[in-house]
Amino acid sequence: MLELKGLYAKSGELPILKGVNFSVALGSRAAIMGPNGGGKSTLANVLAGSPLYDVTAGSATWHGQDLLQMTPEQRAASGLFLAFQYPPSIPGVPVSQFLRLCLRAQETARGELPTNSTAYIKRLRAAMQALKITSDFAERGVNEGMSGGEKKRLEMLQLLVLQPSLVILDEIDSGLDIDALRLVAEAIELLDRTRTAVLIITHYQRLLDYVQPDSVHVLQDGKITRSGDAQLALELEKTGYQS
Amino acid sequence: MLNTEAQVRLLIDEIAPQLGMHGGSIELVDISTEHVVRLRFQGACVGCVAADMTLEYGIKELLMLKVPEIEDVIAVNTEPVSHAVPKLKKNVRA
Repeated sequence: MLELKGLYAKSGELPILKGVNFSVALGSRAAIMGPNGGGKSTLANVLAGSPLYDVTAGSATWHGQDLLQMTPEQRAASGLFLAFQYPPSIPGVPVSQFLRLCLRAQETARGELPTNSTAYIKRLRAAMQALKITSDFAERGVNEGMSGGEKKRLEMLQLLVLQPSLVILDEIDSGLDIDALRLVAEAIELLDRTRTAVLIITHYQRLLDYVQPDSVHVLQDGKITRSGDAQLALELEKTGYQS
Repeated sequence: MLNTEAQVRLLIDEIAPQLGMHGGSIELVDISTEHVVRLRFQGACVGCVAADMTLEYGIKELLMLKVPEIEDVIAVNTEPVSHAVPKLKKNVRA
């Protein structure tokens, strides 16, 4: 269970999050919607441990562990995964090697036996097939010269290979066509639902047509101003955020 | 569409120059009915400590990703890295 209590955060001197309260349990999917500048991406970055933001008050716990006291890599090893809105590229590092090292690093941090090479390749292969990615993709540099759609596909490939338990999708739908959007939804469906909490950050109802959220929260001016079920997303689509 | 063996042979030919630059090469021994590819390192690869890595991180990945029906790739004359007991604080094998 991810639990946020009165979370305040600022970027430089600018306060962005002003007391965010909500929780997401394992097995459930929450959507965070809201206008531009409402603090959605800040929330995602704060949870992942971005150094660009300072948390000034409140708490964020994951399975009772204090996320805010952990380094970004410790958060990742404990199961947190953030799919970026604008994934950075790492030229010269092939996708396959990158994923293998990520998996190995997380397993080592958790004190688990590392997945052997054959098992890793089978997992990668199955994930690539599920996402309709060709084998050449594995040899390309991470996000190097990739189109917007390919970058998001690589985020989903990381999701399926690392199999995190707390998935945060930060506007994964921006710049995606309908087919790619459907693939994102399929990737989420492939995760073991009972062992995963999903936080979907989006502007639009569109992604939520494919991935049904259990709860919808509106993040506006740094606070959760409204909460509801999937119906709320449909309402917002009609009425907008001003009401 | 080429059969499994023909595809594997083509891929081995593709990487032959890279192995050749290090004075080594590799040959296909056989492919089992369970689709396990067995290879044999030759030349300078024999006894080389980097042969394992070449197999586990390079050749195995290439063959298994390009030829989806392959279940595993092993070399008959090296000890795979994956068989080594890892050094860990917890969960050490008895």
